[in-house]
Amino acid sequence: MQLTGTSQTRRLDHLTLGILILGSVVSVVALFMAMNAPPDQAQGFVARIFHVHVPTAWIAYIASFTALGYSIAYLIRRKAHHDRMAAAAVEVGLIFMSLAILTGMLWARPTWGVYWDWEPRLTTTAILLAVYVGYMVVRGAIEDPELRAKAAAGIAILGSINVPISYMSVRWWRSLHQTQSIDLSTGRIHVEPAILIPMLVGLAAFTLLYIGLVRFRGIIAARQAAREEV
Amino acid sequence: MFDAPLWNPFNPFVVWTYVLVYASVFGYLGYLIWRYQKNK
Repeated sequence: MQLTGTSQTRRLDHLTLGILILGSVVSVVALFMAMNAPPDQAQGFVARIFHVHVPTAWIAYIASFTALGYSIAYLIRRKAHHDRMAAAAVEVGLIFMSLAILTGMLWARPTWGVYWDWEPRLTTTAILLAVYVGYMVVRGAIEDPELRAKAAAGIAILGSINVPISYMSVRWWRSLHQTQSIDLSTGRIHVEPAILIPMLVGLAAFTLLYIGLVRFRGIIAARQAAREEV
Repeated sequence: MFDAPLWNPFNPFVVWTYVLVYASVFGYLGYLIWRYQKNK
């Protein structure tokens, strides 16, 4: 069975290239700012892990919502482009989710004394990672493009339910993980500006890189799909 | 009194974190460029 074709670009366009270049430049600026950020009163220079841990975690959440949006769009409109973009978002999101967990572990060891603890935030994040891995496994296991796209969309939609649970877990079940640095539910910011600003620059850099990488991955998938059709 | 490892700017946990993140993101970008060029 074939999915509906689209006129999605199959060449690396100027917008994607521009986003990737800008994201790369801003990420170098973010690295410089993070390395010059003042140390935390309690955690010293180890707190500099915050400047990459928080952005990678946020991007992982954004990737989940991107996949949710494209998956719903696919189920409504049945366009192959939406399925490919959902897959691209999950693939890039898998990298950022893995990085969020690994940077969190590298932060936990010198501050908590352990790399891992089955506390609510870490457990819900591990579940989200498992959902991303499951999504990729299902895509690789199903040959029929339409069935594959529908099954993947179902996983992406169900998996995204875990994102708000993971985000709020630090407040609903207080445990080892600290509460949100920027609480979106109340609008309160619990970080000093000197530490917050480098993190926000890092967040902007990784957001640009995430958008560029997803667009680039989508272009490669579109080329591959076009070649398979021939 | 400061905890010396936490107050080391070149703490290996910090260094490895940044190496891991930047190498992964730009490594993936390099992989995509390679795939794009290969299928050109």
